[in-house]
Amino acid sequence: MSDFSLHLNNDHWVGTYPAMASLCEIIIDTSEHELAQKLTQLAHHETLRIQQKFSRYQKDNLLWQINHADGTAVKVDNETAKLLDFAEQCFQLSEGYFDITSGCLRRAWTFDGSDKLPSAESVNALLPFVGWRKISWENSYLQMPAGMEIDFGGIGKEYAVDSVLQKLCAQTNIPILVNFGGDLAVSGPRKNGRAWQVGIEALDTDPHSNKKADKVLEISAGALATSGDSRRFLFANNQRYGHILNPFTGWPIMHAPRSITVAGSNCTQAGMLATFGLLRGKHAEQFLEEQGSVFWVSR
Amino acid sequence: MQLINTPNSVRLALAAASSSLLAGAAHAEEKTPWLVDSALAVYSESDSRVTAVEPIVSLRKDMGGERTLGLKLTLDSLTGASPNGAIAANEVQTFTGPSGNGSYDAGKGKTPLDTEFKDTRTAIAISWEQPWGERNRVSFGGNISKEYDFTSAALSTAIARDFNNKNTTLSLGINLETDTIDAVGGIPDPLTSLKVGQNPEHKSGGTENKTVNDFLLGVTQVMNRHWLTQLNLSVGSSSGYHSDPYKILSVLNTDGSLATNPEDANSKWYLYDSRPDSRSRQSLYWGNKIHLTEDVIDISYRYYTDDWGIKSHTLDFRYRYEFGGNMYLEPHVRWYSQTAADFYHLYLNKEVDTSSADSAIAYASSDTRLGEFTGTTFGLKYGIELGRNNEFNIRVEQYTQTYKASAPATMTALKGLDLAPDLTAMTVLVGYSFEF
Repeated sequence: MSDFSLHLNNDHWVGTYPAMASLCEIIIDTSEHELAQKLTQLAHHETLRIQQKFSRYQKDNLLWQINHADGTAVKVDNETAKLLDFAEQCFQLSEGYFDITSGCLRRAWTFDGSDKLPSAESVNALLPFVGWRKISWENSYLQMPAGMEIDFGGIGKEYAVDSVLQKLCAQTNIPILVNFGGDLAVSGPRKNGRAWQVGIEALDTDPHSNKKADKVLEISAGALATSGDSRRFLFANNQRYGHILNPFTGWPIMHAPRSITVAGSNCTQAGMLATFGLLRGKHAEQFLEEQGSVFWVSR
Repeated sequence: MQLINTPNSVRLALAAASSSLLAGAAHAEEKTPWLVDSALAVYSESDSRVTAVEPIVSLRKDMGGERTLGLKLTLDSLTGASPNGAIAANEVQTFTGPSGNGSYDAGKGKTPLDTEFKDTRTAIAISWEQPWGERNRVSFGGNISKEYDFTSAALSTAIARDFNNKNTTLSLGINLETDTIDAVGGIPDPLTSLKVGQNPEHKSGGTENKTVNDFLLGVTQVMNRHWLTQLNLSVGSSSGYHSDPYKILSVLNTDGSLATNPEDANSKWYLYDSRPDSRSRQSLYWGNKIHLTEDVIDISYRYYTDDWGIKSHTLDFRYRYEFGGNMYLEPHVRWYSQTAADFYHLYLNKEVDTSSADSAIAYASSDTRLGEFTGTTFGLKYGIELGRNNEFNIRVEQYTQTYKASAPATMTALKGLDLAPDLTAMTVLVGYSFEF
């Protein structure tokens, strides 16, 4: 039953398991083994539930049904409805730059670090299938023209962090930190008001980086999310092409930072702010400053 | 993007949108629970005196919108023997119980104890607290307490307001109470004789009443991340019947021997308790909570004074030591000291105090609670957290009360007697809190 591992770090337990293409960490401020086990189990279960439900790679889940509905309307459950509402609000707030229907563009792009850019034709052929405005979303029914698809990849992981934290907080008052490979949220400060100490390496999404934890972040409330493209990019014509695509042109947003880390009241909001920052390309810092955000950008 | 935004607008809009996204999921599953705090206290005094068993249950529930409902039920069962107010003598003393039926003795050299003492008290309290406007909280409370011969009902209300980013809170409170006593055997006339033998009974009173008003002004201040301090000023007054209908005072001759009752030459003379029909009091309380890395220190001081002449100091210290991740140990030390009321008398002097003399007094009581004494408490509490809002704890406390009361050396009949013996008592309290 143990698809997760648990280890005691001084006076608190850390549960870990792989999911959502990351190493997921649940830090529980207790030295009670049974309780830590129970909570990590719960977190693991909830993470897999979300992963299975919204994964593009799963056959026959609700997402698969939506993306293969061939033009017919599909009734969605409460949780999916809320995610669609959120995606719609993000679409409006970003004036169309954040669009969950843009996933199909990946068929033209392979971000393998090579210089193989797609042809203009192959990208243009996909553009008619991109655009949230082409979708009908109301009263729990989602109807898309055949050939279009939705992808929760830009929201899913941060939403999972928040949802897992929420489920754990419903079970205990013990301080918790949930960290999915750099996207993290805390229930509050540690016991007796101390802040959590997060090594900066825990925020680094680049597996090849050997940054040591020489910097330590102190967090007592809210969340942090990191968006970046250190792994997925193309390099051609002396230009770096990040994997964040402009849904209007089908091409990558140019001059975007390598990575952005933003602090927020929850992980979903922090992650979306980071994504919005990337979508602004060279104006990322200016945008985040205007929003009064706490953020770190690396180019 | 040509998005023209006001500063912060996107960040705030995303905060709201993500809140909505996350709120829906929680709402369906989480209904606010009832938080239950239950405890059983056993209190036991030395020398086979009073034993009290007290179960308490209190419930609290968040009714939504930061409104809290509280209910508390207390049962108090007391048995044992309690001093009747007379002092020890070098002879056997006989007394009649309040109901007039039984009589009891106090052995030579022993402090007389009323053994007819048995009572059960039930109390119910209800409270309601809610926000009022943006920075205020109001609370209301009601309380009813009933025992065989005594009923008390009270209403209270308070308002608290935050300032300085919730670093300062000011509160104002009022408590109004009315007490009725329907004494067993009737209310005795003040400073009249206890009926022991053939002397007449002086009980013309039926029920008596008193009203109590208290006002509180408080300020709570966050001094820094580790230290919270609170200052409370209380002013109160009570009016009505304050005497204890069961307490008597010994009347002594100048040599310390028990005086004879003028109404019956075969009986000794004991007079009933008599206290003023008004009392006004003020107190100042200063409390502090200090957070160390894991542990918490609680230290407070209270000064009290009233127009009965009583002044008291209380110093209370607790240290909560966290260990093992979910357990704590909390040693406790409390020191209390008070001066005697103006009309406190250890005994009455026949020639000086009683009605035949020119210096006859109007009020007198030998109730040890109005006397001069110091009380120290040493306690230890152990608690273990078993889950969310789920805790088991046990507390043991040892209390010692030493009196300062003596008779002059000229009262030779009192030689060798311990007139105001120390009181020691032990309390064991077991508590269990959970939610459902």
